[in-house]
Amino acid sequence: MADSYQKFWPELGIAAIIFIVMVLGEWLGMLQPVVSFFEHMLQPAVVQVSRVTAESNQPLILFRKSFGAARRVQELELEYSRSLAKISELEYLEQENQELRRLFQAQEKTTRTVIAAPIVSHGQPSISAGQDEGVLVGQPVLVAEVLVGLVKSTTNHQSIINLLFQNSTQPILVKTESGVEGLIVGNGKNILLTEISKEAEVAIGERVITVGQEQIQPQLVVGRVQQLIDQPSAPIKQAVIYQEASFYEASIVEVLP
Amino acid sequence: MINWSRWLVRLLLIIIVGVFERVMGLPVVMIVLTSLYAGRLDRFWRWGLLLVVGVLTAALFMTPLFISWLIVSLSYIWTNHTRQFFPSKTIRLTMGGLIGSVVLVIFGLGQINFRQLIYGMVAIIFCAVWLKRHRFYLK
Repeated sequence: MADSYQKFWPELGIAAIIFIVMVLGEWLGMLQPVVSFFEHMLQPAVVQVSRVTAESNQPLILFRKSFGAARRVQELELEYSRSLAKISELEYLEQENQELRRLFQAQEKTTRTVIAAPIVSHGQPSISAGQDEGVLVGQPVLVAEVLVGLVKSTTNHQSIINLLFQNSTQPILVKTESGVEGLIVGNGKNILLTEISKEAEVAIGERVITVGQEQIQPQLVVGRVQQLIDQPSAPIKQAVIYQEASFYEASIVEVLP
Repeated sequence: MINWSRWLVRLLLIIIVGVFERVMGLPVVMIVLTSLYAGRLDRFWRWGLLLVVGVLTAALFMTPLFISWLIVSLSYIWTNHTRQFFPSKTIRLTMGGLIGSVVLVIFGLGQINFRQLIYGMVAIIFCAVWLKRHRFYLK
């Protein structure tokens, strides 16, 4: 016991000296390449382990989803038929658009570039792409074309994501299909569409898309209105948003630069 | 006399655990293992192991190197050299591993959620049972 205690102060002294050296090293930027090298080397292993962990969770997710699956399939069938009708309408519009472009001799529409990145942690939402891959703080993160979060912080090869349901995510300006505008915020559990005026009519199932703001492009799908919260004493209405795609069930995400 | 291969195997085990815990989001077992292994090595190898694990922790958990060093080295000192203050192994393990990893994650990733804390608690219980069963000792 005495031996253990006698070593306490010398060991603390060595740790403190190395700590001071490291603070100086970090301040001078000499240690960053070393950490970055290790980060780069470890990423493939982290991605693999993350994939294996996600796959092992799959039966649990399927089991949880099996409750109410019949109703969900019916909803999806209905949605599918609506989408088919919408697609034919959009195809006609696209054709018309191309003809107009040809008439005005405009350039072809440029395609959107994205950064695809594997998820490395669901516990603390993070992806295996960072500053070296072109990821910047505040950029939108999509899963299957649905906006699920924003980049919170980055290092050279990793980024942390703030998911929309988290209460630390910055508010996002959105509108519904019928044109009602509001703000998307998280309460730690759900994604809420807030700041809806009392007079506005919002229907269950309406699609919610971004309006566009700094770093967040317009027309990004956020989800659908699942539930309306209209308390008589509150000056505004709120709606709970349901997302078809989930960060926790995906293995890869897209970051919009 | 230190056996190189044993040192490397232990380091590899810490790396594997660290990679797994990066996915889970909390490096509890990584810190506990490092403190235990470091406590049995002589000075040169011990600080070498702590340095390498410090760099690995910084790389995995996105923390500044001096912060991860501070956590790893203080956890080692706390776990191995404070028997006089806290004779209970469990208390030292819990505080060294769990609190160290929580502080590290808060510094690195900014916040901690309930899911990570549950993992931390399960990991600490697992560590305590494993230590008792295999008669590992802390100095």
